[in-house]
Amino acid sequence: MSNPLKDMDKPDVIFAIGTNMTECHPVAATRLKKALTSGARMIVADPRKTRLAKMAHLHLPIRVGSDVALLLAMAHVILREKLYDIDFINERTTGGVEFCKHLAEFTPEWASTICEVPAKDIEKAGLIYGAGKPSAIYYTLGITEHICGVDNVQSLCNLALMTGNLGVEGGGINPMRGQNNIQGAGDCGAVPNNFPGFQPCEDPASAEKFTKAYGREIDCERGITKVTALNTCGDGIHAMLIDGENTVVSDPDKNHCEHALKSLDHLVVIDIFLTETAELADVVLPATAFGETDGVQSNTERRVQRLRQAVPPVGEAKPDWWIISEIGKRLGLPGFEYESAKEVFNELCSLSPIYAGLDWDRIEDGKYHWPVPDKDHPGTPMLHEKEFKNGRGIFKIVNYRDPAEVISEDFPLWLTTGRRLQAYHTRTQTGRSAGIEYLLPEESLEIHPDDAAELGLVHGAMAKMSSARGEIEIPIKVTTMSPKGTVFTSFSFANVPVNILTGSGYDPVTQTAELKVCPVKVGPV
Amino acid sequence: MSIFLGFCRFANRSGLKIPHLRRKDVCETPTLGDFSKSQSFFERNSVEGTNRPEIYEEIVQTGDADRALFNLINIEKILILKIRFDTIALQLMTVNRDQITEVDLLTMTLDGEAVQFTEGETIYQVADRHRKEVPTLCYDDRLEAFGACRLCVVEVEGIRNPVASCTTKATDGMVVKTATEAIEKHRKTLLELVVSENRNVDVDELSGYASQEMKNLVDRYGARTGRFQGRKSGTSNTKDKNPFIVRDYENCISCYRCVRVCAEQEGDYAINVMNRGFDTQIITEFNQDLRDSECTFCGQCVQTCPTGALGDRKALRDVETPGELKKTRSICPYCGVGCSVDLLTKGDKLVGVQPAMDGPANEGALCIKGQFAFDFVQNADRLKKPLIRRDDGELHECEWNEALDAAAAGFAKVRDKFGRHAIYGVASGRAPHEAAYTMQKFIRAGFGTNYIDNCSRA
Repeated sequence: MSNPLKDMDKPDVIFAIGTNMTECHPVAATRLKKALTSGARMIVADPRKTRLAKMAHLHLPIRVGSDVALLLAMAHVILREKLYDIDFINERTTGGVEFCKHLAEFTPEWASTICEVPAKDIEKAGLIYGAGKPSAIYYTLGITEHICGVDNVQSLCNLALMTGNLGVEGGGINPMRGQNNIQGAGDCGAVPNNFPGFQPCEDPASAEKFTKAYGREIDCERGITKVTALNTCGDGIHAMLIDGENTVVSDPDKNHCEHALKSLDHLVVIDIFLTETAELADVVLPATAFGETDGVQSNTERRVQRLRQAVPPVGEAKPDWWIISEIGKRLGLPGFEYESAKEVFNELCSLSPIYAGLDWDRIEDGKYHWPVPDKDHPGTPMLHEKEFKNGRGIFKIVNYRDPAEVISEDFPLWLTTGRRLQAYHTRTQTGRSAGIEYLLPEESLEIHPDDAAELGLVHGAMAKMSSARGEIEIPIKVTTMSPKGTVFTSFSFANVPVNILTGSGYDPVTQTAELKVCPVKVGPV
Repeated sequence: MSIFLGFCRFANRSGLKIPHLRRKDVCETPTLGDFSKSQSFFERNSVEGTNRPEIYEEIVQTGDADRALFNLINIEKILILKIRFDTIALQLMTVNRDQITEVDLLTMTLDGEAVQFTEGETIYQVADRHRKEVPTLCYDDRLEAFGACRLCVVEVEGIRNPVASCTTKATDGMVVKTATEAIEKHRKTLLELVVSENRNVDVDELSGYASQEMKNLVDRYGARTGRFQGRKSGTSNTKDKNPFIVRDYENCISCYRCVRVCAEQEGDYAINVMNRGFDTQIITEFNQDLRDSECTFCGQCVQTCPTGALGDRKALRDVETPGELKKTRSICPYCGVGCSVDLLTKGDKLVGVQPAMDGPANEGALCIKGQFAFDFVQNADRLKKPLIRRDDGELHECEWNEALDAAAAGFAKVRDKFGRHAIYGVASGRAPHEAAYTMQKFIRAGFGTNYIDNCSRA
């Protein structure tokens, strides 16, 4: 997030796109509700009539995967109506002229044919966002889990740049991270392109820094992503160490994923439960869970916070850092003689410029947002306040592309996937917490009444759903939450393994899977 | 009083927006030595007017933080605030002139002492700031004041009847007494009346965060006299079989905190009040079960209930579990918001979760997952020992040494056979930093590659 969570009750205009916030980030959503109570206006772009959409002043039920078209047209309206912030554009950005020229043809009428919402609503969205002082953007995986995820994000940046909504209280571009420490995994350098603290692997100075710190030469080129690694299992990649991820249920194209892991010579999984993924491993190592270990987490607003141990680990479970270090030591690697989580974290701080002002003791109260470049720095709740990291904000020329697969005679419905309030990911945790099943006993496929009638589907009955990759059975839930032509389900339930169907394509830059779009056929069993 | 708290109050009162300020940033009274250590900080930040030690000396020497800071703002029109810190010492930060909003300070007399406040503050807020311990039952500082319980009444000179301090604005020159004999007697009588309507006062502290408020006040005022006998109010809802929230309205005192937190804090409006007087009932729309209402089971109503009428059904399973109830501050393991929670434990057992009211990301809020989905931790399915795949193709439990040796040997074998680019690491987005950090170090230091990723792409 460019802005802190406490800013969320301050926007004049809220633009929420591709986020089911009341279910996925409920506590953050309470702040938006407060903003609404005090007079903020809200635009929600989401194919489904979510709770958030029902609260919106303007709901745009756009076709899945049509976000770029919507955002280009909104920018077109902002330009035409001169709602841009010319001073901000002149002083802090580059590429504005080219971007404005690019916008000429992308009228709301043009976007309307792609997004399948009325042109006047797109026009209205542009006017409302453009007039907000400030306007804030919130998004989640509904933006990124597309083959054009990067284009979607850049389109949002363009909107914020042209209206000067960056570096202002109550504004900004705010992606909400979905997992407790997914931000932290990136902060710590568990990515193929960056060392800890987002220091690029391809930067020779960084490579040298870590070569020196770790005592061995490290490739000065980025590694492959997990998606590529899974594609080359058995043919390039022969061993994997997976920590706390139920890859075969959460990743797209389940069959492919399972096949990939099975073709490894050696698979070691660290987890708290014997997940579907752990069942495929050669060695499974039991890790400590929440409440059983000390550690550190970064939240979605880059706030670095302490986890504390409250109970002893079950059985012989050990902290992840201890397990990995023990494997390292057995391979004869130096630098893994840690005695505590504190030691590990302090080493991270010593190597990461964004954590340079932090250490284990300083984060006791969780008051710092990174970057914290030195010990006298108060932290950075808001990014881009005076300047952008790389100088000027860059307008990017973006064009609309169709999703990897589009609906056809064979697969005439759009499937989009997501999450439920009461379930978390693959339910390894919520599925084992008493009472949750009282509210959400099973997964179902949400389908519009018209579609259900046309396909002869009855509420509560089982249906077959297939895509180019496979077929599953799933109970039907007839609801107007889904727009006509689009069906929805979550990937949380192992008995409805929807990721057998997904996996049509990946963003070429980030290799994020297009989990939000998958043409399917649905019919009675 | 710590200088910081004084500042907090001052800032609060004057409507100043101070960045990076946390109520928790309390420290002992600083010394001038501390100040000198922070000189470099100013110099680096070179903000006008901040390099004047005499200002700080004044703060330190007067001991009255409120007044010192008030003088300071008059002298310099610049606020200097201190945030605590860590092992080294005091840091001083400056707030830019343009961030300062000047407001008029008004004065009232509170229990004989002249105190300052700003327009818009209630008597209760001023009194609370001066630690007057005015009792309340319907008050939750996250919610609009409601004025229902009448316990916070105070005497105001010139007004014949006691006034509810939570809903009465302080005015310039007002003379207020918070705990006269008459007021205290009145409070005791009120509590005696409240007690008489409830089935019981003593509820287990596992019920919820605020569940002991009523019990504590009843004890403080010695109100278990049984002076009033008669009709009880409220009917417990036993038909709602939801597994999370006990709805024991026989202990309800109609403070409406549950209704208000649901509306004001959560924006869900799932519950409301039906009837009045002895017949008051808290209900959902059409009196259906919570499951069939707008309720999201965030548990905020449970945590704000001052009598335990609403109880945390999951935590209450462990009333009989031996051991003292302990709270440990941590962070919720679900989404990326990073809500602070207090883990409730008895002995080695995790028995529940309560929201941390001073959690920086959530400020007391939680959702159903953070509030109620904690017991996966000590679930019987947890892996307790390492597993290894033996010749029969099945996973078998084994000792750590064997498992770690096998794990390491497998990587060494693949490295030797296929080269260092044949090994890949996937870090968790769920585990702490230390897991992700050691994982990437293992790959980079172990094999010299950047063949490492996490689960953010799916």
